[in-house]
Amino acid sequence: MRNKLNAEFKIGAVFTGIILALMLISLIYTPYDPYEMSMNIADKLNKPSAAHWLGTDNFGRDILSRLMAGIKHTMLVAVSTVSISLTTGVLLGLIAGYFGKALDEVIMRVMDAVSSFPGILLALVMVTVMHQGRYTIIIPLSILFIPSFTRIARGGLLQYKSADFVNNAKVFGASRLRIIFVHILPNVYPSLLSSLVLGLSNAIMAESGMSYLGLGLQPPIPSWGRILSEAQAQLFIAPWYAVVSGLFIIFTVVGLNFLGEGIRKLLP
Amino acid sequence: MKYFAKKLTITVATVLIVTLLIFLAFNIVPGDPVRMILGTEASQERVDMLREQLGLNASMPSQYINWVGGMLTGNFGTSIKYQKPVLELIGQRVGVTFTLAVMTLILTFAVAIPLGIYSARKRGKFGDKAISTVAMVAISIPGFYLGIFFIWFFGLKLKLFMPGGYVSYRTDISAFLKFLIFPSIVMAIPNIAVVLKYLRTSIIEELKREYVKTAYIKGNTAKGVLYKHVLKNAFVPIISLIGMITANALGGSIIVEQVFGIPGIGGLLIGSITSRDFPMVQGMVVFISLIIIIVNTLADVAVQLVDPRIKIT
Repeated sequence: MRNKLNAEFKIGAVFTGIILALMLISLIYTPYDPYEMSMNIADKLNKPSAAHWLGTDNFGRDILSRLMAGIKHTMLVAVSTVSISLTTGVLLGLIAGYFGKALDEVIMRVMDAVSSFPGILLALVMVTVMHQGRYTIIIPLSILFIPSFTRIARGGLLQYKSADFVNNAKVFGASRLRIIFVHILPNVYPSLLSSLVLGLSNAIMAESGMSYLGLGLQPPIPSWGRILSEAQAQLFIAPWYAVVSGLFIIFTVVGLNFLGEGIRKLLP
Repeated sequence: MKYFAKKLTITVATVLIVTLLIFLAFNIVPGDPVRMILGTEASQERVDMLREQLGLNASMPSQYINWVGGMLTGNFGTSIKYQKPVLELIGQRVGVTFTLAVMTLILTFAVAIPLGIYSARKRGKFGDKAISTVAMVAISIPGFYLGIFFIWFFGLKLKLFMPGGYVSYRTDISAFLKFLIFPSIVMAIPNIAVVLKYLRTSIIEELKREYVKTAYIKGNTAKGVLYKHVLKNAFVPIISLIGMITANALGGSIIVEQVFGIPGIGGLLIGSITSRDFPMVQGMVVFISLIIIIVNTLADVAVQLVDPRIKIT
C-alpha cells in the first residue's frame, strides 16, 4: 500500500464507516423500539418529521429504528457468507493449483458451472431444498461466492509456484504445506482483500433480493429487502418509505464497492 | 472443425455437470423430500403414492439416468401443484420472459456501445470519469429497488405506464411491449455499466497495438483509425459477454417480474418454491440453465467465427 490513498478508497471508507457506526449505535440505542407496533391510526405511515426522522410504517413502527436494527442482520449474513466462501474457496483453489491435472480440471469445471449460473437461481434452488430457518440464506450465498476466491487462490499459487523465493524456501527444506501457507498465500492477500470487500457488497445485494422475495431472512428480522417489499405495498400513499429504505441498501453497497475498487487500485 | 467438435464435447459435459449438480441438490436433501412436500401430517398412503410417482423408490444412479433420459425426450417432469407437465407450464409463460430478455439485450448494447466508445475516446477526462462513477453507482442499485423507484416515478408520478397493468401479447401487442419497456430498462442498467466498462478497456488495449501506429502513419485521422480499424477488433471480446448478459437478464427477470407483476417464468418459479413443488422447480432450473449454456456456447462459437485466432475452450 505504497500509493497515495485514492478518492474511491476515501469515499468507500467514509460510507462504510457511517454504516458500521450506525450499526454499533443500534446495538445499544435506536430512537424507538423497531418491533413495537401501534394500534393508533395516527401513528401509521407518518411522513418524516422531527419525532420520526424517516417517518413510520403501516404498523406505526419507526422506519429509522427498523433500518438501523436491520444493519446487524444484513452484516451478519454478509460477513458469515464471505468468511465461509473465502475459506472454502481458498482451500479449493490451493488444492486445484497444487495438485493440478485431473483434480484441477474437475474443481475448475465445477466452479465454472457454478459461476455461469445466475446467482439468484442457485440461491433459490438451495432455499427450496433446505428447511427454512432464520439464517438459512447464508449457506446458498456462501456457495455462490466460492468460485471467485478459488480462482484468485489458484491463480496466485500458479503465479508464485516457481518464483525464486519459493525455490529458495524449498532449498532450505520447507515443507509443501509451509510453502503454500507461509510463503505463497501472503502474496495473494491483497487481491483476496479487494474481492472480500466486493464479496460483502454482492452478498448484501443478494440477501436483500432474496429477502424481498420473502425467501431470505425470515420475520421478525427487520431485513432491508423485506422492509422494501412492505414499502412497495404502500408506494401510492407513502413513497418516501420505499425511497429511504432503498437508499440504505444503495449507500452501503456503493460504499463497499468504492472501497473494494479503491483497495484494488492501491495494490502495487 | 476440430474446434467445434471440442466445443460440442465441452458443452455436453457442462450440461451433464449442471444436471448432476441440480439432481444432487434436490436429492441430498436433509430429511425426506416427500415429507417436505406433503408436510409431517400426511398419511402414509399419500406419502407412498407420491414416492412412487416421483420415482424415489429406484436407486439414486438409476433415478438420475431416468430423469436425464426423460428430459432428452422432452419430459421435464410433472408439477405436483398444477398436475401438468413442467414443460407445458413453462411454455405458457416463457414468451413474456423471453421478450423481456431480448429487450434487455438490445437496450444494453444500444446504450453501452456509444457510451463505451465515448469513454475510451475521452479516457481520463471529465466525461469518462463521470460515466465511470455513474456506472459504479448503477451496479450498486438492487434491481428491485430500481423497479420500485420506476413504478413510483414513471408510473405514479409521470403516469407513463400503469403499475400492475400488465397486458398480454395475445390481447394487445403494442400495449404489451409498452408495459415491458420500463422493466427492461431496469434490467439493462447494471448490464450497461458492465458492458461499457469492458468495451472501454477493450478499445484502450486495442489502441496500443502496432497496427494502430501503421494506420496513423498511412495518414488516417484519429476518428478514422478508431472507426475503421480499432472498433472491429475491440468488439470481438464483447460478443462473448452476450452469454453473461443473458444469464443476468434471466436471473434478474426472476426478481423484476415480481416487482412489476409480470406473469413470466420468474413468478412461476417463486410460486413453485413457496409451495414446495420440487419437480417443477427442478425442471425449471434445468430449463433456464440449458438456455444459458446454449447461449454461452453460441456466443463462443460466434467469437471463433469472427476471429479464428482466438481459442476459447
